[in-house]
Amino acid sequence: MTAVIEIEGLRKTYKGVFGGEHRALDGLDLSVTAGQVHGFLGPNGSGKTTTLRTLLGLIRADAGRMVLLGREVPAALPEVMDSIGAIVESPQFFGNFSGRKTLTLLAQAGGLPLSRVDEVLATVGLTDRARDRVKGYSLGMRQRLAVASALLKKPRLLILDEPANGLDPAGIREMRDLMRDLAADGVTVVLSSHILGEVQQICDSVTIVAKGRAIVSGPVEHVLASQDRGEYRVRVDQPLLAAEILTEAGAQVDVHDDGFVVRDLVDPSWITRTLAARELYVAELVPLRPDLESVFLTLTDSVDQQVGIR
Amino acid sequence: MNLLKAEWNRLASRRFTKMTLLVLVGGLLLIAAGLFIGNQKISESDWAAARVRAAATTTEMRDSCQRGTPDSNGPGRNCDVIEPANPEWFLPSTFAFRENAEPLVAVFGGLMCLFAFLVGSSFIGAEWSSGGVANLLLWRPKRAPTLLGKYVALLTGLTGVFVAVGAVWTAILWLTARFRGNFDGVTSGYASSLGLTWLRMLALTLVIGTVAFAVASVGRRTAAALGAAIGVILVGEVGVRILFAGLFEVPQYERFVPSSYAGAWVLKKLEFADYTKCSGTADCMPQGWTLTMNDSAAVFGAVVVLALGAAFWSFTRRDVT
Repeated sequence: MTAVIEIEGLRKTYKGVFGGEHRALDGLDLSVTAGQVHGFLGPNGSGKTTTLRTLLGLIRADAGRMVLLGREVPAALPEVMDSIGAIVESPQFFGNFSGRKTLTLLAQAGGLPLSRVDEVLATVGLTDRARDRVKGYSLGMRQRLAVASALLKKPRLLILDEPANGLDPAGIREMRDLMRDLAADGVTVVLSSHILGEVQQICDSVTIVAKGRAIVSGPVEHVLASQDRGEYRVRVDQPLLAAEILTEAGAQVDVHDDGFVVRDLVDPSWITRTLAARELYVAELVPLRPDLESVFLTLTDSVDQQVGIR
Repeated sequence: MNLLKAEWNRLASRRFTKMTLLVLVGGLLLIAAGLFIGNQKISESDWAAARVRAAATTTEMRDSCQRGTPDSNGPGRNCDVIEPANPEWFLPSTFAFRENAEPLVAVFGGLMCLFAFLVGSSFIGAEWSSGGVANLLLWRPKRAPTLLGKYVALLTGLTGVFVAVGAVWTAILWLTARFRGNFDGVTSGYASSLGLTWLRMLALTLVIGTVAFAVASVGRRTAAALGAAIGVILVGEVGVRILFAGLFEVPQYERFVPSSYAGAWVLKKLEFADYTKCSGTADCMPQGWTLTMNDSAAVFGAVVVLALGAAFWSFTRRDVT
């Protein structure tokens, strides 16, 4: 599979006017394969926006190598930029320009036919409000206008920083459908977001960053599997006795008010066999599979703790 | 070319540009109305009435002299030395093109400079504040040509407004002279001189627009240019005068006052008297010196090069965060 984005060892330190320093990127690696929807996740201040801005030539990296659509950037940005649509953070627009005017100016600057403006307005569902001033738009409408501006170029690669910000549930769903449609048309979508449930639903692969470094990357199911601790919640008539029996048998058990959880288990039938041998019968045995949110929190917390220990 | 068209479109579509242009045109029309209402053509009957009033005034002055008044110099005064009153003093106000056109071109230029400052600074400053520059760079990643495109759009836009509104202003002055004044003494030499004044005012407008654009670009907000302007006024106009002229008596301190160069540019030259060597002597003749428009051109050129250099350096080197 071809990589449309390859980043190796990206470093960026912001230097303050009065000598302070903030290391935003600390050797970040990222690889995104063509045709995928890739989630780029991380807590606030983890370096997501700096990475995207650096990739798009808005910020100069201190070190590292970046390849976009097979070309080294920032040197080749002018050649590849025609194939990339992007929004970085919540873009602001001139409030007194209409949505159509805003897009027309960009289309004009990019030498695109003005017919594209109406096409993308229709794609993001803003045709009816195209003549209204942007200052009358809701946050969600501005977000859709931003996505429309990114789609003007018919991009092969779409980079969206927090595209669901400010959208209501219906808007989020529309955005999700839009991204799926784009991916189905062969557009690679890189999406940074805090809405992890959304990311899990629409992304093929993810990269989670913390403290300026990628801490895990790969297909969503692999990332989830990598954090699967083999946990099962057990409900039984005498939970304390059952927990004691399983602990004696060598299991890792955490007791809770409503039952207990067995960790690091490969074969869940071992629980039923072991308890049945002591005439205790399992009422409920539920595998606890990690979701993206729990993986995200676990991994980013562990990085915070490592940094704290150091 | 696409970028230039888009930037022209953006410049012309901005409400701030439209509002400022409206205020400029409104101000000029008010001045024009004042000129038209306050002046009139001088007819033969006006001349006759003025001559009568002048003769009466002369008689009255001489009679008064001969009668003696409490504030006169007493007996023996020679009332024949009293000059007869000039009938021109009693003519109604009329618009003499030769005398009035050049100062009014300078007034127009001053208003255009203000327009250029406001539009130039906000054209890039508001783009920075709104995220428009980042958005544009996602389409046009070559930074220097992008800023150049915006700058050229501004310069050509300002020139277009100057020429268009300036043509209307010239027509107004011509019409005022035609219907409320005269063209006495207007020669081809005067017309050339007036043409050069127009060109100098255009150049000054573009210099002000350039500096405002450059400072707002470096400061990444419109307020940076406004702050710099206030700083120049406080330091260059007030501070320098207080310190250099009042406290330290620096010779030719006007060289450090920015408005001296603007004045010399508009008027071709400004003459100053240097009193620093006259301190304590009553009959001292101050040393005269002149600031020419060539001096102004050199200073303006240096300021433009420095401001644009800083703007382009900063635009191409700094992170867009």
